[in-house]
Amino acid sequence: MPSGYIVFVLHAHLPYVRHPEYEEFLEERWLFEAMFETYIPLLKMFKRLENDGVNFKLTMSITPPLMEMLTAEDLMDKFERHMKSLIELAQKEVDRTAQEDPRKHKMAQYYLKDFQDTLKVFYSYDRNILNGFKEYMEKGKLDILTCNATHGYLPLMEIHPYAVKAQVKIGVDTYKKHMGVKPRGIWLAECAYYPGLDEILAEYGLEYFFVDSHGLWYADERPHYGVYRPVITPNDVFVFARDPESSELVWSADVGYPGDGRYREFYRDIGFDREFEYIKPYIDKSGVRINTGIKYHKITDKSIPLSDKDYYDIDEALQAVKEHASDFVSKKLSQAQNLKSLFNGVEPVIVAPFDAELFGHWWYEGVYFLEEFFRNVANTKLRVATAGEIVDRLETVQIVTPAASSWGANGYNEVWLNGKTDWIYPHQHEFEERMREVAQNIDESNELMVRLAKQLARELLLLQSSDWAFIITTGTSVDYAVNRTKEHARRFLELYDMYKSGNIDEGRLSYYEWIDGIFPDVDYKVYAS
Amino acid sequence: MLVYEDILEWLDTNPRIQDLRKKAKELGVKIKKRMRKREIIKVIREDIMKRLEGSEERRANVTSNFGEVQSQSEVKKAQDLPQTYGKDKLVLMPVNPHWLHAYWDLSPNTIRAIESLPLGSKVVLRLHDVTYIIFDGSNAHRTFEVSVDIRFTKNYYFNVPVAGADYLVELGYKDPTGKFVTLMRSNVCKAPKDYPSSSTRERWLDLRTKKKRVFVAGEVVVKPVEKAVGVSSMNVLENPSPSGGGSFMWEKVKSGAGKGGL
Repeated sequence: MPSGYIVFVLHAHLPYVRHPEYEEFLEERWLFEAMFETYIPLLKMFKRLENDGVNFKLTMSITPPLMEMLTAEDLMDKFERHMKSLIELAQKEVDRTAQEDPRKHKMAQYYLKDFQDTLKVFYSYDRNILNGFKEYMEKGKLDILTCNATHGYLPLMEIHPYAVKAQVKIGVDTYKKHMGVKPRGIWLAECAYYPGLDEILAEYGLEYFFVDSHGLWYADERPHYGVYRPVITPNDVFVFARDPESSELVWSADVGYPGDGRYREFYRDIGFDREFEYIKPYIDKSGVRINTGIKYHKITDKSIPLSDKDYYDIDEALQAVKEHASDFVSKKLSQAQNLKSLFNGVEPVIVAPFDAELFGHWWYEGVYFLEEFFRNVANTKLRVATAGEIVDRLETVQIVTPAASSWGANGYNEVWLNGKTDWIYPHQHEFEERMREVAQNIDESNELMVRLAKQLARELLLLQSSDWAFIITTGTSVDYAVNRTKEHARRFLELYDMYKSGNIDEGRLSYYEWIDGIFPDVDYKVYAS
Repeated sequence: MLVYEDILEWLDTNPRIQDLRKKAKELGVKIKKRMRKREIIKVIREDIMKRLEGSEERRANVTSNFGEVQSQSEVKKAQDLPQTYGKDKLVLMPVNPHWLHAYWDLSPNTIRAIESLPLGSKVVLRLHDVTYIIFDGSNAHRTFEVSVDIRFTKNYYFNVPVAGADYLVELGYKDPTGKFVTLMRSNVCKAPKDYPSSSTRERWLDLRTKKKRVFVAGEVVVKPVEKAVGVSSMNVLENPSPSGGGSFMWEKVKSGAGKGGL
């Protein structure tokens, strides 16, 4: 008998950043970096585990904007160019570091091979890495969740249930389009839930979702097994809750594993360290220095400044990975054993959700950590399982309505609604009402009008992305996020004026269809409900 | 830009300490007399990196001005969003268990009505606790009032007394006799809960038979260890919300809660 189950959940998401009108666009690098540092390394890991006959089970959301970007020809062309340029740079680094510290030279060789392999994996899936994830889904290794359409923050849309429905339905539709099957589970953007949302999830056939720990702790009735067994809502949707202990071990940069001195330092990159003329072709066209992905330093010690960091050695880092994965497995195993005896033999279900991009992008060795985790856990009585498998195995379940909650700082809505971001919502809510008006009144035989309605829906959906408010609050790429919000708002207003006047500028409309071309078949009629 | 890059390269060529001091002076970088060569190089390098980051931000803005319009003036124009949609609207949203956010918009008619109020009238917001009731204008459990100058404010953050309760806001005015007149009423908004249920009831579902069982449980098996909210030293002025929550006013975002984002 197993001591318990562990459900690893990776939430893979990036906002829709696609600028076909530009040959290069700085923020499109977010996708490229996530692809070569996280998504493709995950696929490589699946392969290694499969080749070695190691069982692994992963639950993973791939959000609709991410699916749309990963299948956009123009973006994938740009990714290919990006990788080729990176390989060229790595080749130069191999030559150059022959005269420098041997640890740098070793890493340069490592990067060159790694980037070349990455590009091969990309080609092996016909330049569509969703094919890779689909392959492991079909093999029963991956449970792929959908997410609400553009990662809109649903608790702040609660006053307009039709806007929430549109987010959910378009999330389901987009998943079907790319994965060929219906999604079973959903990851709610920012893990944000409000009581009543489950009714809408049920309406669109979704079987389960996830909440943060306090979503269950403060539920309408107390969860008998805490966060360690899924529950079901009165609307018949299963709910998994996050284990706070797992998060702390992996996530926290202060006390968590990723802060170990042997791991790679994120903020030292040759994009900043090499002389300008040499690095110029590999950084932003404007001359702005940015990360390239080639880094030679390790964290060394968190307290010392960037300039004093020591050189990185992948083998030393992989030794740290072994220690941390083994520590993690033994902690999870004893946690499961303790819970199981507390539960009189009922097996606990430990749910560990993370942003996928933490693994590989932020924590360079994170994917290897996952791999070591799966290798280690296979020899214990702790079982890995997907969320779907757990649901299929349940016999009795407690009925509970979770409390409003999110996984943002302090657990509620303040990351998305505060003095820096509150200006967004009066516009968003107004547009939601106008979108409904359009959907209810449109003449569906008028093809041009239908195109207009669809574009209105796209502008609204893109504006609703929680990413903009998040970025504004955390102060990372504020101008970009503010611009995106305002541009989508402005385009919405311009198109709405066309709707009102009946005077449609088709050239303009076509242009917006091209530059904001998410969800080609968007179901705008859902707003009429 | 290039000048800074050149200096960075020059720093790598093991320059003489006198030259380093000279360069620091040129750049306006403060260095101490007793500093050794290595330290001076470090200080200069850090200062330049800072400058480069600053110019990076400025340049990043330029690349971020996407859209069909290329000229600066047009980009600027595009960014002005309407200040009003000319409709009467009052919306209440939850921030966290102790704070709610209200925003409003006014139609020209309402603005005219407010402008023509008799002297001595006052525009106010009223927050009502309407938990478990259908509000009829006078049956709230508790009512709180604050006066607002609608010429300058279009929103308000309420610090609410009870988490998990239902609230509703009215925008109206008090006439010179003190009588309250409602102009607009918001949606009902539940403040999120931040405490476990006091109910000991448990409902269970047998998924094979679809039968439900309800019983009164003694204690739950797992008692959560909840996150403590607090600060290591309390400065009332800096931390205006000792009741917990309210951190949106401090503009602090902890990373430990789970969000990374690129």
